Amino acid sequence: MDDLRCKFGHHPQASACGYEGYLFEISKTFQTLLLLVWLIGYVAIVSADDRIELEMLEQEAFRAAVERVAPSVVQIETVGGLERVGKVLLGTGPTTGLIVDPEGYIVSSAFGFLHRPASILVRLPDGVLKPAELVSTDHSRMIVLLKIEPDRPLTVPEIVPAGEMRVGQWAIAVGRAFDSKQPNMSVGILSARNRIWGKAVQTDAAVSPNNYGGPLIDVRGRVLGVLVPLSPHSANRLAGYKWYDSGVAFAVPAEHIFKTLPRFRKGDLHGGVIGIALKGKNPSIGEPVITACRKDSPAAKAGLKPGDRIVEIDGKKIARTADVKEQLGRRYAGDKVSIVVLRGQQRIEYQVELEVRDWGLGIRDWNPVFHLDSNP
Amino acid sequence: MQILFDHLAAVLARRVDSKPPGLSRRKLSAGTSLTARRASTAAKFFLFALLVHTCSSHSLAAGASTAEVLDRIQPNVVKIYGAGGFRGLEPYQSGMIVSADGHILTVFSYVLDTDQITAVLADGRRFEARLLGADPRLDVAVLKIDAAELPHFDLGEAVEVDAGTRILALSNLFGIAIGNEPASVQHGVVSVKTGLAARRGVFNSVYRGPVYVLDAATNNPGAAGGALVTRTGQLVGMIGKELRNALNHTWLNYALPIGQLRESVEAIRAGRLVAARQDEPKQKPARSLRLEMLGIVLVPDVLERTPPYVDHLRSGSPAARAGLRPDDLILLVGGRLITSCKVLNEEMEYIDFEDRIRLTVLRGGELVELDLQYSANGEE
Amino acid sequence: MKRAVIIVLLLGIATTAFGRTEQPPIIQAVLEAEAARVAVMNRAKEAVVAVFSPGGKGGGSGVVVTADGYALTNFHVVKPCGNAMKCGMADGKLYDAVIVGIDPAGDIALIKLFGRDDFPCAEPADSDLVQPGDWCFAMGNPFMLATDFQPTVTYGIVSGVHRYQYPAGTLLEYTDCIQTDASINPGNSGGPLFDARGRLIGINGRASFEKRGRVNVGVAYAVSINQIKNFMGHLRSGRIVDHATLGATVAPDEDGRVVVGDILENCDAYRRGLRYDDEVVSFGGRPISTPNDLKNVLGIFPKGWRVPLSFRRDGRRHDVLVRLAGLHTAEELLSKIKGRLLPSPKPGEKPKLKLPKIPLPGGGPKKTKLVRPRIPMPEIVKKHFQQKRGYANYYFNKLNRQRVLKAWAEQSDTADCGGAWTLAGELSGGGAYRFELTDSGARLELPSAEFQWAAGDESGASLEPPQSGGLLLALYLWRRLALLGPEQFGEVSYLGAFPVVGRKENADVLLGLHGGVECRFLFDPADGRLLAVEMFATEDADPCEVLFTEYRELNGRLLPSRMEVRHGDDLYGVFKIDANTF
Repeated sequence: MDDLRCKFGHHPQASACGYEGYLFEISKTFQTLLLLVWLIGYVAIVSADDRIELEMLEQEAFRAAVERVAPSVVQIETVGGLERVGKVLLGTGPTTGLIVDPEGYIVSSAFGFLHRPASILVRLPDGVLKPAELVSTDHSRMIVLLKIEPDRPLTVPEIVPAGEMRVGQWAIAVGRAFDSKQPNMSVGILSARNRIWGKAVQTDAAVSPNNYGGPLIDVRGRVLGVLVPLSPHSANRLAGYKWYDSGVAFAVPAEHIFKTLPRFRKGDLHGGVIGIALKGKNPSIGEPVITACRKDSPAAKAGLKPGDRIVEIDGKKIARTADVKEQLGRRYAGDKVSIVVLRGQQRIEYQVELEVRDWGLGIRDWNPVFHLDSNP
Repeated sequence: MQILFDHLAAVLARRVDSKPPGLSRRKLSAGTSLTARRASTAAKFFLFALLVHTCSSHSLAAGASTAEVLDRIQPNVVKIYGAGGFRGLEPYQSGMIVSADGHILTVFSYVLDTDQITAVLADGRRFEARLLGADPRLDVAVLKIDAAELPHFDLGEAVEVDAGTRILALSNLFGIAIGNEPASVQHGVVSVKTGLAARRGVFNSVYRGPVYVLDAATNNPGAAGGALVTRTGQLVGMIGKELRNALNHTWLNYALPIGQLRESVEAIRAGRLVAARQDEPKQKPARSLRLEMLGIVLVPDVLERTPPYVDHLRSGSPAARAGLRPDDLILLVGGRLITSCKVLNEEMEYIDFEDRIRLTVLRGGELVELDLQYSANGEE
Repeated sequence: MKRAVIIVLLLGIATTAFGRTEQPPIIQAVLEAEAARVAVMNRAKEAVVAVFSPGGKGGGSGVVVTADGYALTNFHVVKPCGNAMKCGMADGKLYDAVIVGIDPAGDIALIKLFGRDDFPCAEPADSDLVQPGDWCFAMGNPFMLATDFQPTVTYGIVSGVHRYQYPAGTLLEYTDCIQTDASINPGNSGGPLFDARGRLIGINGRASFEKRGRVNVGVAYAVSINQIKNFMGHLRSGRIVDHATLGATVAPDEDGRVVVGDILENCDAYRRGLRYDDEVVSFGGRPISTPNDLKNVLGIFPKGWRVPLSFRRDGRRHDVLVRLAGLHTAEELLSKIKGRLLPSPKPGEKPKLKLPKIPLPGGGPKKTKLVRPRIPMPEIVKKHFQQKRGYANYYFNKLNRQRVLKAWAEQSDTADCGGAWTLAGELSGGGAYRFELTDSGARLELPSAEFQWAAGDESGASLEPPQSGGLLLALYLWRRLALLGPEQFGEVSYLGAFPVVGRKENADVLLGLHGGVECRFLFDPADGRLLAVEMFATEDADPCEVLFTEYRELNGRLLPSRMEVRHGDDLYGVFKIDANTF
């Protein structure tokens, strides 16, 4: 105690001790000190694991985060349309959308519109119901752009720059599928970045038709991305849907959506296709050696040939098939890329303009075996 | 250290209620009422305590860990074995002890449809259980085992929670806990609080009241009857039966709020008949309103989900007088969303033929609201 | 008012300090904890492996546990790979790997990655300290999403501990496993489950699936790292490792006690005194209150380990050490792993022995065949692989045998002592003794008697001296191993790591076969000294155990000065060695 007293005695204001007139000032000083130490102690306490106190703080933070984004999360109802796509029965339930523009642009998951509804209704967070038009579809990221005519400017959410995302950070999936008045939320973490050939981030929060089209937010309520079902192994419109609520889910980064918005408003976006096949089944371990070029494909037109080994795309080093898919898979039709190949010992650079084709990526779909023991 | 956590609590309270911080007020009053010297001593002591705390963050944990909470409440959850075991019907479910002398709250299901119900406690003790009673409208049942001084949940102390509340779900899902081991525990948050009856026909459930939708995969085979608690172990709800959302074909994970069940449980325990609840699902009226009574003719219903466009109107009909026009798309009837001709016809069955209804239609990109009422003689 | 200003000021300081702005104070604590978790996960992911079969069809996950590249995964992950696999790590590189050892009953495999001697590796925790409610996280390659080799992280809590999950036949039995609600999906198999601090607590391998199909529904299981620690030595031996049986069955009686129902008369438990109707009180240091408890504990020990067993008869408690027998014969195990893996039965269901229609529990396409990939083995793998019946990879057995013998030779330096070995001194009970060990046999002179054993009589006809279980033969074999080395001794292989009575660390064990006699040599892995020799003259009898202790330097060699001889439950004698010549 004595040591401590000495220590604190050196404090310039504490040395004023004894002057009655300073009484209030002193108490304030201690208060300042107390609060400072309290803050330090507070952080130390709550940074330990398994502490209920921290969990309660986090709970408040989750709620606050959802509250913060809620004014930008809308409920979408659709009327009419197909009952099923292929063999999959489609839902008619409400889906979720995210406001991206004060003038009335809203993005949602293309999954909610696969049944080609006759009419779309958007219910804004304040309860106002508005008819909506489907403006365009991003067929590569399975996102749709809707437009409503709002009575007053809409609230656009704050976003997290892609570079700030960290694997392991909180990721809260927000939807408005159950109740138009209150959002539904599920909490997880960011499981990985740079998934689905660079098109999406991954989360283990519960994601399903109950929040497809809604935002994935960080613990401060900023948008990480928009929730959509996706799979790296297939470009099928329903790909990734069967993984709903499994702890494997994806969101298209908000930064990308906002960056692409001017282009998206003008019309549909399609994944860019090059038209080559590469060696090996598993892209993770396959060599980036061209085994075939489709006739009239962008690759063929540019002059790529079977046997060429791709070594660089737009300045990025290529080592495996996966690298090629990652560099090309994220691009849209119309994008131009420079591809460097090794033909024998010769290094040749080609300029290729990616096109819209119905052969997916131009690299075949893959049906891998995933191992996990199971008990029925 | 309790003081410290009082402070934390106070800060939390301030955040939630926007009240001035209790911490500062208390410290300030102490400071002003004592002499400066005493105040400084007291404050220094407090500082010292805080520093000590800061330096040894682990050993001085004043709060309980999740493991400690579980140690306390896991014994309240029991494994129930009964009928089933064929066609994918697991012969087991979960339950929670709600009295020291052996009352067990669980779901009312085929598992209880036998004379031989066994309840196995977390410590492995096995008891023959008797079905004391059930409330089929809520799908709840109360069992009784002959035991005393059991650890249990007090239904009276159950709490109501909001969306975002962190929860633990305790159940014997998939029958994993087989012997003298506690049931499984899962974590999550309350995703949203919603009503199962909010949309007609979406959930095939007897229970129609409010539920806590959860973001964890809790409602698996064997989990029904398990306990939903807060992270501090307060009872919140009972895990319901497996349920599928007919709208989007996903499985729903949810729990029934204890507040909805308490009355029934008390009535069953007291041997009283449970009175019919007031919020029964809406009944169809004796005579329903039909579209033709209003003079509305829709486009031919040829698709699975034909959008309910108005084809034409009988002249002089209530609909025509109200201003409905051909090519209007009917979107809402009395605030309920109409997604197809079929749904519209179904919805009409719930409306009494004498009631006034409000239609919301889409006309040229605008939403238009119209009030209609049937009159027997065609006149108003 | 002023107070408010101060608070605002302080918050300002705090927020600036943490590099954040405009945030309420609560979020600061949350963000700090979040940042700590991000850091832990970022570090943990470095050791995580995406395992691919070289054919490119399938794969799973794994985790590196040593800097020289040994990694753990599931047996059912490597089985379709054959002997070589490709491993992607978070550094973005693809490494070649070879199979080392497999544990089909425990669904664990040890593989070795090549290309670095400084692999990032996971630090194992004590998984017995894991409690329900503890935060944990899984890493791996579910649905093969990690095309850039960055693992998927899923966060959850421990849902249950010491869980038991039924085997498929007798393989893939998950005993004493950890149940978690962290999302584990197909492809996560073989990957690590970490505690909140990023220490390895288990290997994810199984999940309960609902009617929705093969996606996580909140329940998955990890083999505990403590179980794997027990098997680590065996896995490093390059063997196909077997699990253990007690040789007795147990069942609950009317009072709920766990009692012995059946017991084999040739098992060690019987020889240690366990009989029909005895109550099993504890096993492997854990209390036993249900038959399942016993099954659960049995699964964590490899065949051949000596495990403490306590039983009660007529109110009296007996504490013994029991040597566990193998669950399978070597042939059974071989034929079982050759077949397709059976899906696990439901609890309570009798394990099916016939092949059902569903193939691999790994699932995936229905047509999956066990393909021996025709893809040529990479050179580095070829150099580290040797086929031998009964082994997953004999190369690693030789490697460990060499390691153990080299350390022993350096320490005892007896390789060139080809003459007669004499050991002389005093018995602890008084009286002088003298051993003489030569190529042609062994002799023991005691004050009262003299015993002799001649080479060529290894079959066990004369286990001299009486009551010792064959001490002379054991010592003869000791000298033989020291002089002749592994190639000429008979057949010498590395058996794995085994516990030694009275020591915390496990011993490295070499198994020597000579003339139908099985002899185990237990070495201290730290300094290579010989700790004990256990000579099994016949399979179903107690061995002669010779424990060497009190090593001291003698004529430039570090040699034991005390030799304790045991047979069964009895101490045969303690020999103090005062003089020895080589």
